Order: sequence, then C-alpha cells, then structure tokens
Amino acid sequence: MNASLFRLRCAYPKSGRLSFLGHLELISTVERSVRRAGLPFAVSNGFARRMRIQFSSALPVGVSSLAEYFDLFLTERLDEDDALATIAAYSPAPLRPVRARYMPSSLPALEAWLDRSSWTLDLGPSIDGALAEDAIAALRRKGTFTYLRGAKEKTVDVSAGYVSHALSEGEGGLSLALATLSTPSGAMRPEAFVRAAFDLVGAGGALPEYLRCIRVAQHHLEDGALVEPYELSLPKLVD
Amino acid sequence: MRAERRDCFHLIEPLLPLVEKPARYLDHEWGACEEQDGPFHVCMVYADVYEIGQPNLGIAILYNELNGCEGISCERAFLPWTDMISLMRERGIPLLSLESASPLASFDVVGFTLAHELIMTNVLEVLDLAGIPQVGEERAEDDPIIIAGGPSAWNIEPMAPVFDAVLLGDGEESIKDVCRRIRDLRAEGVPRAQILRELAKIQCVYVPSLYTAVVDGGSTRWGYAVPIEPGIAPEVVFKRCEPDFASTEPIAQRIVPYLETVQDRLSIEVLRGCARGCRFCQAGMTYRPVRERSLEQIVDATSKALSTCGYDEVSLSSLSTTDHSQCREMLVELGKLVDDKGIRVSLPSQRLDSFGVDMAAAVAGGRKSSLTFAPEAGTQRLRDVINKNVTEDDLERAARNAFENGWRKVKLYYMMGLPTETDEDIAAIPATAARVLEIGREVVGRGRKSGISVSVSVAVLVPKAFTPFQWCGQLPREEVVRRQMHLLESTPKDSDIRITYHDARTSLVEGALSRMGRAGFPIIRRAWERGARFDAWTSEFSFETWVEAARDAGYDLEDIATESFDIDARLPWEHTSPGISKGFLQREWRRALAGVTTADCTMASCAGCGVCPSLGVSNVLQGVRS
Repeated sequence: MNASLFRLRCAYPKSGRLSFLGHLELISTVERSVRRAGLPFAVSNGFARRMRIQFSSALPVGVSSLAEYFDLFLTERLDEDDALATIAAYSPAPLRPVRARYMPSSLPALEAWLDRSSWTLDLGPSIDGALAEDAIAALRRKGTFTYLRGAKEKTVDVSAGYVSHALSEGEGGLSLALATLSTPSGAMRPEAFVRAAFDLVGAGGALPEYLRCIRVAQHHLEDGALVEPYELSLPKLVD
Repeated sequence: MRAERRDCFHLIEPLLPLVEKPARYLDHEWGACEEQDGPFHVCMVYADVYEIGQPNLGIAILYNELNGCEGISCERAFLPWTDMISLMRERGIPLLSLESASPLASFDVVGFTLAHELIMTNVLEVLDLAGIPQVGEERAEDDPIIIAGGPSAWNIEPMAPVFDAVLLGDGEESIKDVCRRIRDLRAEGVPRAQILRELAKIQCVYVPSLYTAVVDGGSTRWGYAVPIEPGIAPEVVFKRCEPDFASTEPIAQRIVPYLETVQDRLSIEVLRGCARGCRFCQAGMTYRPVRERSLEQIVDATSKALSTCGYDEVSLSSLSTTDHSQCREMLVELGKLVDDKGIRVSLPSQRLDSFGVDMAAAVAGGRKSSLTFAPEAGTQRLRDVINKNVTEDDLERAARNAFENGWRKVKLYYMMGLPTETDEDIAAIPATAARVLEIGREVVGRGRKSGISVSVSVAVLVPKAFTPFQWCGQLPREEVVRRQMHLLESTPKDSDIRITYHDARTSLVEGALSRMGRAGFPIIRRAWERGARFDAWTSEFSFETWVEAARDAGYDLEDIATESFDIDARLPWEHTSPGISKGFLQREWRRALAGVTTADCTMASCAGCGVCPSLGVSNVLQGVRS
C-alpha cells in the first residue's frame, strides 16, 4: 500500500429500491459518485487503471443495509467532513454516505477485515416463534445445507458461518436477529440459512415469497471481541 | 380506452426478488428526469431490455428535447426480460414506464425507436403487455398515439398497420412539432382520425393509414404506397434534417445507469452523416449530409459530461469518427483532459485509410485492448464493388501502426453474400487475417507471450432500402452456409486467428423484414402469436417459428429475402425519402457491377446523390478532410 495515500473510510446505507443493486452495480454506482464529486482519488497502475477503492463484503441482491463501508484512497488529505459533504451531494439518496474518517493505510483490505455481520429478517405474520427455534436448531444440528446460487449448487458450513440468533415479535410478525461470520471460503447468506432451516422441518412454504432482510451492522472479530469499523482498539464483548 | 395515470411501482416491487437483474426496473438513476408533471405525457420506448435500450442515443436525445418543452414530460420504458413478462402476465400487471411507474396505456403519446428489423415482434409484445391494441385501426379514440422513428423506419411498410405516425430523419425538432400538435389538437377535442390527418401535414411525418398499397405491372409483388385521398398526405414524405447539427445539444446522455449496459460509457456524437458511399450501408445513405461538431464543442462537452455523469470512458461516436476533419487534434486535447483519472477515450471502429500514427498514439490512453477495422471484403476487386475505398496497403499500414503503438489484438469485420462475390473473395478473408497476424509477429515477436491475435467476424449482407444494393436479393441460406464452410476450410491452422460468422437464419429473417411491403405484416404478427420475441437474442430466436409464420400467411420466408427487384420497379418504400435520388442509387448499382468506385464528396467533388438540393442542406465540415 502506498503510504502517501490517504484512506478515507465512508459509511453508507443501502436502502429502498437500490437494495436491488447487485454488488458490481453498487461498485460502479459509488465509483461514478466519487468521480462526479471531483475528489482527488488515487488510480491504480497497470493495464486497466482503476480508482483505488475497497468495499465491504457483497450484500445479496434485495437485501438492504444500515452499515455498508468503502475505503477510498485519496492523493490529498481533505477535511473529512468536507469530503463527506461533497461525495454525499453527488450520490443517489439511498446510498448517501453518512460518515467519513481517515484510517491507517496499513489495515487489511476492508472486505476481509469486516468479517462479522448482524442481520434482521422479517419472517412474516404466519410464523410461530417455536417453529422458528426448532427449524434453526435442526439446521445447526445438521451442520450444512446446500442451495442454488444461479445455476450453481453451493454448500454452506453452518458451524463456520452461524454465530447467534434471537427472535422477537413485532408489528409485522416474527423478526429474526442473526449474526454471521464470513470466512475465507465465503459468507453465509441469511435468507438461504432461514429457508434451509424451514425446509428442513417441512415448513418452507410458510415463509413469505420475499424475505425482507437488513444488514444492521458490520464488525471485525478480533480475539473473540468485536471491533467497530472506525475503531482499532476498542473491543466490545461478543454477544 | 386510456388507462388511469398512477404510480404502480408497488405492483412490480414484490416481483423484483424473483427476477434476473432487478436493477432493470428501478428507475431513479442519476440524471433521470423525475419531475414528470406534464400535463402532456410522452413515453419513449426501446423494445428490448434496459441494458440494450438505455445506451441508445436516439432515445436520450428525444427524452432531453421533450423534457425541455413547457408542459410536456417524457419518460422511458423498456421491454422487461421474459422472466418478468411471465410474472406480469400471470398477475395481470401492465407494462409501466420507468420514471412514474405509470401504465404505458395512460400516456398521450408512446414513441418507439426502431434500431433494427429484428425488434418488430418486441414492439408487438410491448403493446400487448401494455394493453394497447397492436393495430392502429383497432385503437379507441382516447388510446395513446403510437409513433416511431429510427434507422429501421426506412422500410416501415411491414409494420405500417401498427404505427399511427412515423417520423423520418433527425428527430430533435420533429418530435417536438409532433407532440405539441397532438397536445393542441387533443385540447381542442379534435377526433383521433383528424389528428392523424393533421400530423401528415408536418414535414417528415408519414401517416401509414392515409396510404394504400397498389400492385401493378411497374411494381414488385409488394406494390407501392399512394395517398388514399389526394391532397391529404404527400405523395413522398421527405426526412427532416438538422442543417446546423452543431447547434443541437452535444451531451445527450445524462442518465447514468446502475447496471452494466451494452455501451457502458459516455457517448458524444461528434458528427452526423457519412459520405464515404459504401454501397451496402443504409446509414451512409440515409443520414446524409455530413455535419461535424467543432473541436472546441466536443472537448468542452466531453469535459462537462464526464464531470456531471462520472463515467470512466468516453466514446466519440458517429458513422465514421476518424473521418472528422479535426479528429487528431480532438484526440490529443481529450488525452490531456483525461490523463490522470484513469479515463479512456475510445472510437467505435477505425477507418483503415484515416487511422494514422498520431491517432493510434492518442486513443485509449494506456489501455489498449483491441482495435477494430472493417475492410468488409477480402479482395480489392470486391471492395471496389462495394465502394469501400480502402486498399491492401491501407490495411497493412493500419495494422503495423496499431501493433507498433501497443495493440496486440485486432478485430476485422467482413461481409459475405456481396454482389459478384466468388469463392476467391471468401478465401481472401482468412488470407488477409494471416497477413495481419504476420505483421503483428514481425513487430512484436513470435511466441505465446507476444499476445498477438486476429479475430475475424463475417456478417451476411442484408440488402437494405435506399442503398444501391436494394434491388439485390439476399444470398440463399444454403449458399451462405456453403460459403461459411469454404471460409473455415480456407483458414490457416493457427490458434491466433479466430473466425466467427453470423447465423444465416437470423440474417434471413432480417432480410425478409427489410424487403417486405405492407402485406408482410401478418407474418410478423403471426410470428409474435407463435411466441417470437427477442429475435435478436440467440437464446430466444426461433427460425422455425418465422418459417411457420410466413407459411401461415401464405409466403415463403426465404423467397421473400432472396427475391431480386427489377431496377426500374417502384419499390415498397419509395413514398418515403431520405433525400437521396433513385437515379443516383441506380447509377451506383451499375457502377458496382462494373467495379467502379465513387469518391466521398467531403474530400472530392459532388457525387450527385441528390440530398443537398432536395433537402436544402449541405455538408458542414470544421476543417479540411484528408
């Protein structure tokens, strides 16, 4: 990493209709916002000279988020709040950054560093809490599940990806809070996890056609403690 | 009956998790015109999926022009992909516009851009999905007025029953004239039939329902169109032409798509028209005269558009960009502008004879993936027949130039089925590719690491209206396949030469659609009824469907495509005119058969095509072409 560059970490949501953007679509949308903002971004060398920018792990298409991040490498150190205001002015509202702070250039790549995700899923009004508990427990006992991603069958190791869960009743029905961990072999998709669990107990048909899902937080897991994306040494206890 | 105008996004939102590429249906892109207050509402439609239609410059130009008009709003609509269409049909959801998510059937005017012939069944699909009657005479008084324009409007007869009005030529002004006229007449309570008669009075507007096809001894079997009532519609409808092209807005693309489109870059139209006179080229004949924007306008517009859109690539588009009299200076100036931002400048394809060393150095910045040239025919004899005024030396010089300037991959475009073509002409295609490859190896070196390769793409000639080849029949399918085999057999065994060719069956359908008259509409409608749609997509195209549809309508598809017309016959499209004279086209056909070339009037004297005197326009060049 070039030490003369300035690593600006931006936090942004992914909301509304734009939760249906794929990861590559999101990347090009953010890159174009940065270009429109006229920020002094760094450009890589080589055959394809691209903007120096890193993104946190891909969200499944249709999943919204309160906590997405990108690290933009600048060639000049701008005031953080000025940079934030400029980029926000040129971003589509559902992706408008809400915080920007400089981080050490020496940190690992953002996608690998933010390995812990917290999600909430609306399971809908017709799901009973006890059934949901049974389904999740059954899938954890089974240990793996497979699902189709496009035409490809993917096998997921539940023990590697699952961290914790909690169920609560809300206005719209049952809500699931799920924590997952991504590993070098991939991340567990919350919707795939929930559908596999309910399929296992023969209740897949009770879930809504569209399972509304939000990523509510991302952290770095270090020695069993959670590190906030803007903090380097203020761990919280694992929940 | 006119549908109610209301936001129906909530109807398709639940379908988004269930379909491929939901970003096709989102709207709200950067630069989209979200304020759609009207009160007069127009929707421009490209009858294919978003990523194909959104980059279309024609739609972008008309969208901006209409949204700039007081009291008129313009939105976009595209045909959803098959997965979404099925879900919408299942749930009774009509086709919606993007910006306001209103039913297409609620608009005052619905306009189609016809970029190619294979889009016609998609037009029928759009109308049906929207709940708008496909045929003009079935539409109710208050239904939207359905208009069309674009390159494939030059033989609109097979779709004549569908469109209420067709706009010929440049659309910047005519689209506004037409929409304002419809608005005013609607406000006065003028009946639909009378509105169409009034539209026919606007220059460049062809109203098909005011004409009938006459078949006689002087026509082809498709006949020719004549006004039903004298004095109501002109005998010949001439195209509209913007004489001062530079006064039009140079930045057409203001909407920045979320998903990757087929041309995912900023496009600046640097000039309009081409007078090279390639005898197969419909655009070269129908977009005349040549009108260049100035260097300053192009550089200024590019700079502004890159900063307002955020693209990392700009394409200088036109029919022949390297012919622009200031092309070299333009590339140098743009190179300075984009130097340190990882931005790339690209040209759609390069003329072999005008692609110089300085241009090669200036294009594409550091990223040199592949360079495209279009020799079109394998031998000098055949290039003279088609009036492609480039030589073997031009090709070798351009290839050497490209390799010396860092390119490693060269693409060559050719055509097959050209008039007078022999097996020798076919065999010369791979021989030329081998020569280009050899030049690359001489310049860069041999062996795998050099990365040199040549790809050759061979299309089938589809003779088009208003070209000197409009009288030729298309090559029969069996003969196309034989020549394709001959092409492969003649190709040297070298893994660095890659040959691809177009599907003879798709070309045959395109050929039939390009040559039919008004009586051919039942074939298109029958094909759609039999399930044809997305015919330009290899995965969706069904040749058998088209063959059967033609048979149902009492025709033989191959017979339509391969039929030659008598050079003196009145052709089905002669009641419309891009300004080019029939005498010029006949003369060019005879010169083709004699292998005599005709010079470009932007570099030599007038070739007598007739466009300038008939339309009262002239070539506008910013400098001297060489």
